[in-house]
Amino acid sequence: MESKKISGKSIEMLISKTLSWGVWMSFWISVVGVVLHFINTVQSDSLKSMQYSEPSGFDMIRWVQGLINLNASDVAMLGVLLMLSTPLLRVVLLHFAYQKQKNKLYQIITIAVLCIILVSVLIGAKG
Amino acid sequence: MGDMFEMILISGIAGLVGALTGLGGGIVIVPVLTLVFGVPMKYAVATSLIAVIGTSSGAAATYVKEGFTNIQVGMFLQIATSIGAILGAVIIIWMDVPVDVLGIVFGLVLLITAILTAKKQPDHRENVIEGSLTQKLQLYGAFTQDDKTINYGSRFPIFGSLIMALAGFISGLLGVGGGVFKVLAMDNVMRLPFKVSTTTSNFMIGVTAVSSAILYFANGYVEPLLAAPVLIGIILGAFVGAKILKHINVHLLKRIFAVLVAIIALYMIYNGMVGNFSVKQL
Repeated sequence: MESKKISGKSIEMLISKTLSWGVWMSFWISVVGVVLHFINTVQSDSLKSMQYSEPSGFDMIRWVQGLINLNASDVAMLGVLLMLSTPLLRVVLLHFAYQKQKNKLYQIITIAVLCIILVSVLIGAKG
Repeated sequence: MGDMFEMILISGIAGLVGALTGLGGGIVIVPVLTLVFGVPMKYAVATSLIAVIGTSSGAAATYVKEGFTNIQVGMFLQIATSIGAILGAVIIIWMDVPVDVLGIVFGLVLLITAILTAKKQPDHRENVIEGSLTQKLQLYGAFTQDDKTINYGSRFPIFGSLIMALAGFISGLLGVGGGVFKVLAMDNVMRLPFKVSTTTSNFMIGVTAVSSAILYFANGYVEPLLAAPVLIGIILGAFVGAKILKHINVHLLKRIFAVLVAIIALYMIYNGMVGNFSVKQL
């Protein structure tokens, strides 16, 4: 069975909507994070006096717990993660769009880009 | 609390001017965070990268819809920029580059940005050459202008990729979008139409920034309560900028912004030379 082809214009619309949704969702979640920070913190931390201790890796379990407890920093982190995943989702969607278009070359290129980003994730996880 | 509003406001102005000039707001964020707020360089670069993803994704959503962005050219060149971005981030995270040296490099990159911004860029219309590498790689396209369909091709994809890798490297190292270097590769080297170069560059910046931002994130350099106000300000600024773009003399604004960027560049170089970055971050 021949797969249904999609036009270049519909790819553009799909990418445009994905980017738009990702940016605005991330924006509103960041707003919630900042508002929660103002509500929960009696004496708000100044950015100038913020302590930057030795950085530690991302702890998923601690983050999810913080999110459930509406911890301002963890809610803001959700906004950041959403922002990070928006361009990635765009590459994934493009891969499927090229698959529908039967464009082998660009299916390989999108996979190559995703593999490079995966390498970045692996280097980060090892570091 | 005042600091957060200050940060939202500054990021908002950066996003607004960035959207109007097409330079993004990243080049303002790192100097402000390091020199005004005393944020350590690696945290500032990570925050700026998140902001860069925000502005480029927001603007790309509009440009892609308008049909100027060449998604295939963007995806092809993305391989080189992403590799470059990862290398840039690896150097800053794991190699102990003195923070003052980074400040000077940042200043120099800003100076080049200012010069390239002020310079008028050529506009190309290349034909697609039968059997050429650009034809095989499908690096051509068409857009509509004044009810006319304009077809275009490109040249030198390998050389263009090399400059793209450099643009990615600068992005990963300094937390900027590196848009001017991307436009330099697409417009001056690959001879793509100027409008296609700028919009495609913008489309690519998000994925380039993610490639290196993941490394900063995994190593704990993303501080969410620092990134959130920057993100809020820069997205709002970019949104307003896109709305008022039609009513502004962009060429004049671009020149004014180029002068401002040059001043920030000299300020960064000076602070790097006298060792202020390391003093502020103690």
